[in-house]
Amino acid sequence: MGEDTFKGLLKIAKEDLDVLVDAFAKSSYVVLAPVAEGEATKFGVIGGMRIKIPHLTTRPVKELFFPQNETLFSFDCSGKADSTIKTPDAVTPDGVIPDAVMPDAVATDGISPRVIMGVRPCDARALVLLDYVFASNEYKDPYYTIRREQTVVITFACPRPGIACFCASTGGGPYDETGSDVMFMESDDSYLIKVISEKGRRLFQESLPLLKGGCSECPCVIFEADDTDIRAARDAKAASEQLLSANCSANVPIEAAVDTLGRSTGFSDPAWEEIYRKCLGCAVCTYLCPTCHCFDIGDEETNDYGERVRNWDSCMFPLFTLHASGHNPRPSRKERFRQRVMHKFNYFVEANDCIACVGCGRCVENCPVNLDIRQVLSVFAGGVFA
Amino acid sequence: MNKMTGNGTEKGTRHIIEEGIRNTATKMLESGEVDVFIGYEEGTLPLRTTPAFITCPEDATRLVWGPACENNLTVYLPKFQGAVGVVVKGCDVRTLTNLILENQISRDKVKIVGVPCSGIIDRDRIRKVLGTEGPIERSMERPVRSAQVTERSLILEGDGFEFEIQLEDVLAPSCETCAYPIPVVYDVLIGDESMARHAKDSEAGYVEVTRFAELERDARFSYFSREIERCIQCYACRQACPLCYCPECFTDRQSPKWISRWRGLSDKILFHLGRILHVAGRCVDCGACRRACPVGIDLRLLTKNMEKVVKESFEYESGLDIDCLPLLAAYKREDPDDFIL
Repeated sequence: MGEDTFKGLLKIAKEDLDVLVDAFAKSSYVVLAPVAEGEATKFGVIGGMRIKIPHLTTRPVKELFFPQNETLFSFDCSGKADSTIKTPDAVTPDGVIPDAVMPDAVATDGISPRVIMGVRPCDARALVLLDYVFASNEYKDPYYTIRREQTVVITFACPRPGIACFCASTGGGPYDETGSDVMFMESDDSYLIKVISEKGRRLFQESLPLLKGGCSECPCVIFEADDTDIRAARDAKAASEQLLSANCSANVPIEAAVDTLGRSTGFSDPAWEEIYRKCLGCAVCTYLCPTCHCFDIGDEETNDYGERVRNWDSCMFPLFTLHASGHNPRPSRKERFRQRVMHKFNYFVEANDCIACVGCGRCVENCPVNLDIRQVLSVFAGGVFA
Repeated sequence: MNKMTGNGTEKGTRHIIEEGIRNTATKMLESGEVDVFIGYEEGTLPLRTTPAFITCPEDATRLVWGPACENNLTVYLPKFQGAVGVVVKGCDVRTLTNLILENQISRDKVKIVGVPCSGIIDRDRIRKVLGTEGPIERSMERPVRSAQVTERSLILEGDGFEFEIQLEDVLAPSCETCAYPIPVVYDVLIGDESMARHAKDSEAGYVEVTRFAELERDARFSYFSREIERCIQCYACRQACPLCYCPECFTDRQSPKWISRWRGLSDKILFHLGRILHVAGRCVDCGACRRACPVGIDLRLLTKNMEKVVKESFEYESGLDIDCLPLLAAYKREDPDDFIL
């Protein structure tokens, strides 16, 4: 990231954030942001609620693009319906395609434009990695792609990376702009706003006039950032990076690990025999991962109606590779754990020239037995994680 | 690093227990009594320890003891070949008793190293205390950067704060009302019984479920649905449960397919009720399922109620006796038949 990070910034007082959100909503964007769900947090439609940005949501933003469950199409064998195969016509703002369906190809205009506020740089970066899978030149998944096209990602830079964070080791960083359309940076009582993409520019062009119209006393809550603001933001960025590098987890030797795993001996490295041992075989790490993207396609049927559905799947489950014959090529947790690590740090690298990990630390924090991917990588890098 | 073991200069109870575990592991591995010794070692995050599989006596110094030793290590036993030593708390040993009764591991293959338990901490609770009485807005930050354990409290440090919490205020709910903090079966008991937390009457644990049962049916179902709806079907609860050892879980059956991964609440309910019924008369409320859940579903509501039903119906508490038949394999003339379990 160069010096131009801080050029041409706008500024809004923290207390005015909700005014801006209202303006987005008025210009017909649906606004999503972190919402609490019991003890956990995830992204959802905020309605009139005040925006609160947690350090990191429990559930990553990926489910707004690649939902845990979605209908690809439905079929009706009753003989009464107009069409036997129907595809979804709409995608609701929270990413779920409603059960109501209409004929013909996947509609591309069924989803209203959305703004997701409060995405962290790691999650935004993860979207770019998911693009390799679902929106590559070779293959475009229409369900994913339409959601991506219709969404403006507003990232909030991380002023205080957490103890499980290791984004800098994965090529990102607390102020990384990859995957963001707009970035908000904390600076004392304000946010400095950097508009990054064309989509972001359009959002502000459409919304700012509404902001002015909404308040005649003080026509605008958005200002141009002055030198003092920029200095404060620059200091905050430096402090954040300092905090991250002081974090014992910040320097995970990923390159060395990728190198080891990429050798012909990587797959059969003796370390696999030990390293998986405490793995319980649940799907916490994969389901909460912002880049894991494996799915299973099946049919959900009643008597003469059915839906072809796509559900998340996890390489941690034995069923993931169980053959109809009963043979399972990944018979134990060792093979399954290896698959997860190899996919992220070897197979994905071979296919896309980058690792499939953004260092968000969710798997680190949520693993029931503290099986820490940073430690695993350190072992393959020949070092010891401390 | 974060010391979750409370090893200050003074030789506290935890220090004595930790030394005891290390010495026992060393002895067992040196003598060849066990091939592997399973205990806890320092985790990579504050307030965490992680399971350790020790095979060389010299590695026994990695073993630790403290209120962050949350995992029920008996979950690893059914898969083990060879002789194994395992550190167990009062609750953990009761799941082990069940594994032995159910022929999942033979008694002579396992060396039970019991620890008088003073309760383990609940990380969700710590977050809540930090948020409501402490220095941070609840659930808005990953607050704690390092933690130290003293005899009675945790000293938590984060960005711009140091905060002391009494251990007693952040114990896991299962521990608060624990009736058996001292392992009921063991080969070696580390320390002595006086080091354990004071045992509560088992009725104390039923206060909450009893109160819940008094709610209107609709209120109960809506609470229950709201909790279960959040389930992401990661099956961490099942995987963390030592008694969920079926080689193929009914949820993984494809023919017939009992459970769909589709977004139905009813499938999620079926899974959770199915699992709970499968551990009826076996569950010991060790809390492993609740701790493993990444979205914090109140699973103890189900397990605790099941435990209560079993106790009231059969005067049976799971995992206390190693020389009996499992509850559901036994029949007594006076067994009630006025319900379906």
